[in-house]
Amino acid sequence: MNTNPKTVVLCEDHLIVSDGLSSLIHSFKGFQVIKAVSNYKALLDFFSKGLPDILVLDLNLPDKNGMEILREFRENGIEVPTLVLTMYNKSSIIQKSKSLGARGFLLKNCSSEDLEDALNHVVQSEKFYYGEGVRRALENSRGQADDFTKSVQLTPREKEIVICLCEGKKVPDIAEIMNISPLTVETHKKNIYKKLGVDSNVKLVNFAHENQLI
Amino acid sequence: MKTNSSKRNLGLITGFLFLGLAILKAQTPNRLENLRLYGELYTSTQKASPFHLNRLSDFKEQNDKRSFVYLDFAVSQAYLDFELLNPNTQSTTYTLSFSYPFIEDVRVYKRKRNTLKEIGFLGLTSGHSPNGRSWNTQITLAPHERANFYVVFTKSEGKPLATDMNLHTKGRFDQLSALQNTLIGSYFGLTLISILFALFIFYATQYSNALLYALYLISLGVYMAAYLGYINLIIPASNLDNGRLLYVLAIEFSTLIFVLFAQELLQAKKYLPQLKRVVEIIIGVQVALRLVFHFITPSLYEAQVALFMKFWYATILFLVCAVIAEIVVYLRYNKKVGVYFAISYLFMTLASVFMLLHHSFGLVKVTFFGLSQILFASVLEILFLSITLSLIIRQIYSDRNALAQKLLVQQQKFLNAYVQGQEEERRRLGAELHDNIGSRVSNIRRLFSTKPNKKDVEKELDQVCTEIREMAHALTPADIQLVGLAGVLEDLFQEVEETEGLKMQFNTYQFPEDLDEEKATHLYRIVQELVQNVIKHAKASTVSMQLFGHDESLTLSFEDDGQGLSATDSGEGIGLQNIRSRVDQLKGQFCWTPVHKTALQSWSLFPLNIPEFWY
Repeated sequence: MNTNPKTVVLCEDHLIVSDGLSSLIHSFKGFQVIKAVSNYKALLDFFSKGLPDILVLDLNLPDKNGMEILREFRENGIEVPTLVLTMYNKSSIIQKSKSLGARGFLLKNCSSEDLEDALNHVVQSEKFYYGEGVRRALENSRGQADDFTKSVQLTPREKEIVICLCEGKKVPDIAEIMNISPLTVETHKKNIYKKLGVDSNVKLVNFAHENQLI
Repeated sequence: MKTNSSKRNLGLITGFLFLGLAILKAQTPNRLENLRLYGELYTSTQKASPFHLNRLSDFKEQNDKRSFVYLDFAVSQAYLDFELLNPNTQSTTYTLSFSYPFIEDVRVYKRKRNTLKEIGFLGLTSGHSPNGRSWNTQITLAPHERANFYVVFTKSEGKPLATDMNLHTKGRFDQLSALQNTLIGSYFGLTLISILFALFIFYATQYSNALLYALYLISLGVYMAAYLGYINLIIPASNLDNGRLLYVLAIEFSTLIFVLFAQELLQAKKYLPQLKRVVEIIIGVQVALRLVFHFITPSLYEAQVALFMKFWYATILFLVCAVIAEIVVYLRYNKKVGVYFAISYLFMTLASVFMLLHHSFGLVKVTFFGLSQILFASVLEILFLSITLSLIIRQIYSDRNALAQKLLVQQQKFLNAYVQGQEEERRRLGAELHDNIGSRVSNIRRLFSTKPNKKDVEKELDQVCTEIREMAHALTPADIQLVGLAGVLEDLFQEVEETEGLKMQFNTYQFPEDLDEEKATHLYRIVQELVQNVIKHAKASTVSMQLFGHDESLTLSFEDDGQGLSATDSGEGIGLQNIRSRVDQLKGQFCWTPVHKTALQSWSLFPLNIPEFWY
């Protein structure tokens, strides 16, 4: 069974953590840590000789952080199954790691069983591995909502202003009616234009009627 | 009390100056020397050329009681006859002199029976320069000789002529000239010192109005030099008329500069901006018109002279009144400077009015030692203007010092606040480390010293990890550089939804992902603050928050459907102040509109316009 141990590279800037990880992974069956580096440059140097089976990547690193490293990999076509190991447990971070091509996410206070499961999972499956206690990333989080739904989500205040604009009222009048400063109205208008992708009042009126915004 | 005493001093000074002049004046009149009082003046609107005894019937007696020669706009020629007796046993030389430097054509004839012999010819058209500061000519009488003389003035229409006419023995004339030259020299000395003073002030303080003042003094000096006859001495005899040109230019130019100087000094731009604009237009029109009439179309000028002069007087009157109005307004804001300026203005205006009345209408004559009052008034004017300028500079300096002092105090305050904040944070962190993490770690240690239960130890260690992470996160949202502003806000809102049960709607619209970290941190803190506000005060159920990336600005818009802010909640809390200071640091704008209307109310919204590229 023990024919070909999977090679693992660690990228972690705290020596004690990477030493601990090394010895832990050595104790797992079928895995071998072939290199531990502490920054992106050293990692790239090592990768020029050949890619490992698994990369265990910390996010907080000097120079380039983990996210930037993932992005570099993707842009430069470096395909290496990566397991993110970090202290952060935030949906946005998990979501972003996933979208940048990481294959799993582990918290630094995970158990050794969790780490072993994660390593095994990453070599066998393409599916994203969530470590113990890791928050689930929302598949379609609010920031990533599709453009059209996003664009017609007018806030109550914006709706009021769109109504006024469609009635042909001018900015100073609207400010007077709503008892807010003209600058605020002007900014709202600018925002609404951006949101709906229009650049004139006429286009705004057309858009509003076509999409029954009001 | 201080202003009172300085006002009294001021009163005393001016009082003494007036008194001194009055005493000097009382000593001067030597009526015998004023020829005008001893001869009759006959005028004609036609020129008799050459002047001849046969033509005397063309002239008619002017019959005025003036102590000087005045020929009004329409007069072309005039003569004055007088009889002179030499009481001495040796021959005596008298000097006949005229105070006005721009007389055009004056001839002096001695009558012998029925013929006239020209014994003197002077004026701008005579073709020779005056043999002294003023036009003068010598008359010599043999022992006990009695003779009749005619002084004939010829002038162009449209220009009135007013001049003193004095007859002195030569010795007395030289004596008087020496005195006058000393006085005039002192005047120019004062002018020169004041110019240097103004330039120095400008150099030292960069107060640009000092430069205008220096320019005014220079043009005033040129005007005075022309009026006192010095210009006639230095320009070629064939072009004496240029002296008068320079005189008119200097009047107009110094008026222009003075008005501009006064506007600046009285801060008309701040206190009476509309009047200032009108004044500038009027003065421009006046100067332009006068120059055009005088030099480009002299014939038109002569024809329309009455109308034009009326217009000119009107504009001058307007300017005088405008500056008075500005002084009155200015006095309300700055009494000390205003008073000194008002006094110097009073001297200048009175002197100018006297000049105008004297030369245009032959109404007033005020002279001291045979010198026009304008010289003496000008001395006082310059003195008081220089004092005014010094006061202004002093005020500028004390204002600057006060400001610097204030800034220093402010800086000290900031520093204190900073140190205090740092101390506070240290205390908080220390307490947190000691109370929570410290106690948990000792608890773990205690667990080890007894029989270590793996589950318990793990649980405790997990707790410690979580707490350290939370503390670190509270200190800096370090993940901003990992996931960007939108990412950390996403997390923040997720947390708020879970813990507070608020519905958070969050969208970004072309918001730059690689916003620099410092700005992103500010924005993050602002949103944190706004969310805290909503949780604490708004009783809202939904919050809509949006980030927009515009071409040259970013907008952060934040709305909630809470209860709004009632009118009694006046004053801004620390949270809002915090937001404002952050927005200020981003050079942004913050609009915060509490509204209460229908069911869905939005009570806080703020666009943050940052007028620079952030990309």
